[in-house]
Amino acid sequence: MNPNWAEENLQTIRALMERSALYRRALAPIMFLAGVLGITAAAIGLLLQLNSYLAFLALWFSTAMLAVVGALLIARRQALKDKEVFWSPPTRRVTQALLPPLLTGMFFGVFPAYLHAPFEAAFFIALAWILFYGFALHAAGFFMPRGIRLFGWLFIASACLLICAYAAEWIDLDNKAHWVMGFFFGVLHLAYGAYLFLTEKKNPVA
Amino acid sequence: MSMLAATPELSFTELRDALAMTDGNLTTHIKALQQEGYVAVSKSFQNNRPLTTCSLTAAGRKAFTEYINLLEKIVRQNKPK
Repeated sequence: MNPNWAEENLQTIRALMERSALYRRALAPIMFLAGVLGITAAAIGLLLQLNSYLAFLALWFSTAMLAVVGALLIARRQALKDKEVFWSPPTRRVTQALLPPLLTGMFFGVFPAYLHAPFEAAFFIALAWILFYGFALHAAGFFMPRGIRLFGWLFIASACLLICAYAAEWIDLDNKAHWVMGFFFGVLHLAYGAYLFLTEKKNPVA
Repeated sequence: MSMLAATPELSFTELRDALAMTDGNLTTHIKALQQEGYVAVSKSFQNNRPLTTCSLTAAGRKAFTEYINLLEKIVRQNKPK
């Protein structure tokens, strides 16, 4: 038997197993958490009228940090429950895929703050974040189920459509950055979480 | 086992077609794996037709992972230098 053939087959099996393990690792609660945090942040921004670029940045950066920490904690808890390694090769691969677009998005968010950008700029940054988040999901989707890639495409396509609609003056979204963020990072995550929850199979018992 | 390890569950028909096995042959294999606690079988109805689905249990996943680890070790040891 050709050892390369055997090695390739084993690698394929391992990759498929790891991808499956990631899927089982509670994507639904992570999406729910992100959704609830997104809607809460949007509500805070609107109710407290955080209408300055710095306040917008601080609110949404804190929300993103909370979402990341919460997602890691949920994934870790699930891994411990299933007696699996948390920081496994697939988790590392997904993290590596997510990082470049997310860090670029972060840079695009911080940069206008140095230029003392007005609150109007927040809408464009929200669009950039939606776009980069879509890129991140799409990249991570290569190591996860296809649904994540489609979810990423939804963000990318929506951001492109909003940019076109704004440029063509079909919509007026000035000063509506919190609404846009709340919809994309809150409502869409909640909807995807609900979809996963309803379609996910429970862990089988022998 | 590798097919079940890659997906949450598979129907009996999907397994049978993918493995090109007869119903009786596959049933024997699944029963053996079920007795060892590696595979869980559930029966339900879909469009008024019985549907048998198979999935890997936690014990089955663990055992299969160990088996893959062992195979990888053997392949590494026999790899031409």
